[in-house]
Amino acid sequence: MATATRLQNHPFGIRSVALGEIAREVAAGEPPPLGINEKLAVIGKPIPRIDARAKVTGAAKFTVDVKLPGMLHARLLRSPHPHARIAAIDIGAAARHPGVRAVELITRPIGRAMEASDENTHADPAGRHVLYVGDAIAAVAATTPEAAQAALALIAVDYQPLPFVTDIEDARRPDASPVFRGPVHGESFAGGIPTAGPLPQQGNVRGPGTAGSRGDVAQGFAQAEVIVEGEFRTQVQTHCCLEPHAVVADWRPDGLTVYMSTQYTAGVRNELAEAFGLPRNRVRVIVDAMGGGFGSKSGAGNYVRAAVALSRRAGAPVRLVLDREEEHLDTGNRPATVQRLRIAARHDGTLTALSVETYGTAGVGLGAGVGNIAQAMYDCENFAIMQSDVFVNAGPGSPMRAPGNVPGAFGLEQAIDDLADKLGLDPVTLRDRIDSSPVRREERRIGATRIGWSRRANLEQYKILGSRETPAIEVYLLENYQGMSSTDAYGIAEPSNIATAPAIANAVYNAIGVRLRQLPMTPAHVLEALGRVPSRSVSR
Amino acid sequence: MNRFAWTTPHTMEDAVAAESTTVADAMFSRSARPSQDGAIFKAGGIDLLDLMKEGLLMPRHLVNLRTLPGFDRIRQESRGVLRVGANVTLAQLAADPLVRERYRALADAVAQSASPQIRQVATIGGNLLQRPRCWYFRSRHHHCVRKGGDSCFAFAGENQHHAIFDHNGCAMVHPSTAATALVALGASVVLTDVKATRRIVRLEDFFVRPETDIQRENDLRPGELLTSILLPPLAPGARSVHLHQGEKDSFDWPIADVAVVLDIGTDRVCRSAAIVLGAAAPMPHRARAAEAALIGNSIDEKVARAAGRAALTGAAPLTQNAYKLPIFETLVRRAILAANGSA
Repeated sequence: MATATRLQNHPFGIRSVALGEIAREVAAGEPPPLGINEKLAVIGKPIPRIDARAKVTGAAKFTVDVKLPGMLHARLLRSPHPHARIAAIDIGAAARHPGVRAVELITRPIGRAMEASDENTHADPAGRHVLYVGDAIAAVAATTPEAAQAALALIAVDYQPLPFVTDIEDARRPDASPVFRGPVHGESFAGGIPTAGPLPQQGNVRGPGTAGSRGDVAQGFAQAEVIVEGEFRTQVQTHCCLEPHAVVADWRPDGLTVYMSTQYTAGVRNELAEAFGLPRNRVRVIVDAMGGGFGSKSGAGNYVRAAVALSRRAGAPVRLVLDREEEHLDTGNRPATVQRLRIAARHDGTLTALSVETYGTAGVGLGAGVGNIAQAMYDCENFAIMQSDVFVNAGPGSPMRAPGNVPGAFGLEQAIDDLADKLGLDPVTLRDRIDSSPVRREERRIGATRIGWSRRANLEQYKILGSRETPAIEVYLLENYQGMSSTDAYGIAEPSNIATAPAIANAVYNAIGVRLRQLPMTPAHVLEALGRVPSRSVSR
Repeated sequence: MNRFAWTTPHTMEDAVAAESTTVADAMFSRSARPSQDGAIFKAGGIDLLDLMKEGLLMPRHLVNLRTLPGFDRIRQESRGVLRVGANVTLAQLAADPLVRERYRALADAVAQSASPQIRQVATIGGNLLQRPRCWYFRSRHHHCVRKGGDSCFAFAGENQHHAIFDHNGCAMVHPSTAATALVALGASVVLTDVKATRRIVRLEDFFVRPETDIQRENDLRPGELLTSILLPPLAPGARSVHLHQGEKDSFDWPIADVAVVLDIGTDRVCRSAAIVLGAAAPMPHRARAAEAALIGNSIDEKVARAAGRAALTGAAPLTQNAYKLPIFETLVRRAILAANGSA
């Protein structure tokens, strides 16, 4: 592939505010840039979704609908212990169970922080540590799902249970039982913290990562006329895709075909080619319709590798569909965070310093951070960020719909709201002063007009939004040309969920005068914040 | 889910001949292994399917009552009694003109239950007999006292949705919202068995407290079939109200609900009152002190407020659910004022 680059000029700005052109280096093979939408025949014009009819009529084929001749059914054996050493494992009885065609051990699980000692050991599963309830240990393929399930019970595992910790505060204590035996490394699965390069690790706390910091925060605070600070907490969320993680792996002498509910066919192909020593052109990954992924279906993961290994051993296609419990335990999650923010400003709103210190937990994964929203959203020369991962004995986090930025916005936007309050400024006015993005300014203008910004609504009957409570949504598309690719297309679904929680929290504050610093904003938490919950309680 | 036989009886006699057991008996086991003996009755199947998919109930034989003729009707009987067949769906009940006119609390309670899809399938009989939604009870990893284990995990665990009253050994709340209204309305259930013995039991007496029998929520006996619900006529002019508070407005269980039935005389004095709290205790909780605060009084804001406070008499919240107290206090006050016609 050619690697030479050339400069291209793209229009830049939004529809109402053209800012001229932006020059961008593009790869030699990339086509010339498209014009702005108004000059195009199809892009930017309303057309029916290509799969809409198939999905509403049930004609769409999902991975769970794939059925191949001779297909076997697989189930995974998972750890019932939050932390244990596997002293011995015996698959003999399971392999002999009627209907069972293959048993595979998962000796080197992926998708988590790795210890140095993990690199070469554990070809033998005995000695492997399971790190959370639901950690996959073995896989069975049989002619029926019932036979596979029954065979799991026949796998004899001798667990030596070890001390465990599942709470982020407990895990931070110096005397907390360690999740890992030594320093770890790996990719930032959950997003948010750049984990490249070595970071300090003390007990279960790894970090802080300070990438993205700029200027001199101490000096910024010294210049402050007003300072606000606050601690905010966000909780673990699971993706809970309507279609569970599912795969049908078909290993044949001439190559591997994988039907999989995935967001990233090319990535899965590359991963499996490497893992099984196949050339990439001998691996096909097929996904027709997918019932939700939200970031949790990016990679092959342990379950797909297990299905492929079972198919190779059995010489037959293998179907593995996780159940709802497995979806919650071991297919990723949005990590929990504890964030401490400090903001310094002048009386006119100008920010002089912003500091963010976070502790997050992606279970046994890495990257439980708060994204780059605080770094990028508002003009502020002096910015400091200190993000740490806290390990607990729980399934690893994974990217979820604007990784890091959803929890990040929950803290940042409430702190900015606090600042507006303290400065005696309208929250929209303050944001217009400190946010130089013409797009967001325009969004605020349209939003304030459409919702009647100054109107006070009744929040008493406000409920957590379900399908019935969600009001009709008006959508305004602001074309924002940035010259980021030849089509200049990028996703617009995620931004809409970044601002939701802090916007509601700010509305609750506006209505009742008390801040909700953690999610979810249930009646219980609202009453507690109002001091209406009596303290008397019994337990036994 | 396990394999099972499926039979569809065409008469009530055939149904009760199936040697059925109750779901409570089938699920209770010292060894954490549900019993496979005895047939299990299935009406709408909503709760049953949940329990079977979770591996909490593994019947060998399901007896489908859904198509049993004659049990899907709402009928006016003599002396003003309304008979509701056990197979009447929640959607049917919510839309029935007689129920809406005379027993508004019931219509409103079922209209808010679950989701539209579930209300089309769920029957009122199954709704009253459904098992608790306590997450420890529903977890096959927790062998709780109600399933034959040694302890209730809720007391030291996550109990924000659990009972604030009468949690003697088990902190479940009764899962039926319809039951809150039906107890306040003085309803009875009709039960029959293979010998065609008919029992008519006041719903309030049908439910069982944990200290009486910790493995079951009601007095349904093996072999027995709940066939209908009887609603007595209310005094002329009496009004009933049901209010609930949830975390969501739809497809969610209430964190608190209240049914109030008031009979107000022409002199504006309250002659009788029934106040029942749901999602409060292991069975629908009769707030007798609140009722006493109304009877003989002319109801105004002050009286209603006092009754709201009185409704909390005997409350003993757990570590995470004291927030329910102000919610119940407010719901009771509002429901009283609404039933009084002054709100």
